[in-house]
Amino acid sequence: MSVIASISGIRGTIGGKVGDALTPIDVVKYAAAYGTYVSRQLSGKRGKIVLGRDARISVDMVRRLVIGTLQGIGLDVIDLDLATTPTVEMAVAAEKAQGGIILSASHNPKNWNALKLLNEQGEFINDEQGREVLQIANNGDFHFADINNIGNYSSNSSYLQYHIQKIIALDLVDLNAIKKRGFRVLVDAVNSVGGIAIPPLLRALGVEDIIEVNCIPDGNFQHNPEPLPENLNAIANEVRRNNADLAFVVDPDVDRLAIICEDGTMFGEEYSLVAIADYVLKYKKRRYRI
Amino acid sequence: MKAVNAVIGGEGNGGIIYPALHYGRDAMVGIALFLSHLAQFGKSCSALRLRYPSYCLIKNKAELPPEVDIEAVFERLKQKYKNYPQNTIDGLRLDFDRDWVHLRRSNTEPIVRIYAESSTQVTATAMIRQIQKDIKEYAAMQ
Repeated sequence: MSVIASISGIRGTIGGKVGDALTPIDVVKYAAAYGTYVSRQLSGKRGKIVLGRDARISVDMVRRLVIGTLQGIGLDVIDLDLATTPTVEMAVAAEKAQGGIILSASHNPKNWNALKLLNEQGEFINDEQGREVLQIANNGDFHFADINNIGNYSSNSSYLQYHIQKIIALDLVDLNAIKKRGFRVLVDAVNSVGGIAIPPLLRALGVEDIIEVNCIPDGNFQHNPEPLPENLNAIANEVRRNNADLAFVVDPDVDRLAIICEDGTMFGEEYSLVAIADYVLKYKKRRYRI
Repeated sequence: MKAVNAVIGGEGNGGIIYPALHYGRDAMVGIALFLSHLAQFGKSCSALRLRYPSYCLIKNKAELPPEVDIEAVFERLKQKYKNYPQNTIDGLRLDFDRDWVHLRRSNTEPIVRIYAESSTQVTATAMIRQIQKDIKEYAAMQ
């Protein structure tokens, strides 16, 4: 059992004693602290927060607590429901919201959950802001709205498409070349939100031959969700068995990418960035050299 | 990344940040860029991997009693390896010719994370062991 409150967010295990785990009381405490912090910046104006979650078993319980708490603070909640971390980050900016909360313990095992806190640009809050949130939480210095100022709730499921459209519109995304290659791509989404995000992305990129593994987002992670080589042996075998050209493996909130080659060897997590940087710099090098 | 106007960034753990889209780790944009790269390359994924030099990166850690002053341990390490280039932007990185070791303290636990990269696994493992030994020795001296 543990709860770790750091500047980048609050993570903890589910179940157990208050203060010793991410219990409902702790969830409400930190959500109220973040909400209070956001509403302080608004000086009486109405504000809104974008909320998203991964597919963890505990996440439905946690999100209901967070929604009610933010409404109680007087903030409107735009609920993306099941959404990747980067999708929530982009939605905060697109909605011109005052912040965002992502409910996901990223690559941690299924008994963990976390509140990741975003600023109005959809980026993680900084050290100073994080300290202020923790201070409000520890002092119990919450401020809730009166009866006429309770926040509204609305859901919005359009941001996955928004995210995909923005990606395929990028200059360096070469739809023609991808389509021409006719790749067979295996996807392992470790039973989380990648299961509903990656296959439609691949189709939009022009990949027609998609093999979905662990793509049902029910939170029952079929292997350790951290995309390290030792957790991916079974998937490597699937790549060979299916004669796939490659596999993409993402973590439960889709902020990390591992790649497996057609022969089942690991491309290597450090090399995901190396290869992509090599590609980007091929086009951008001259203009930006320092 | 903002300060240097970086066009691409990220982390060794597979986190890709492409500012033309947004400033956040995003596996989806990573997939789109990687497939574009592989499609233009025209050969297999393993052939693309072979274009890049192979290094062995080992990640390990040193656990310390909570009362140990980790900063003081870092100071002693800096002294011991003062003849090698050091970088303290994010923890302590020591450069040894073609190999390097990077030490970072955890914000949440009494541990030091140790990363070592070399062209061979033997050297990387030896570097990790040496640093673990150093840390243990300096912690015991306090």
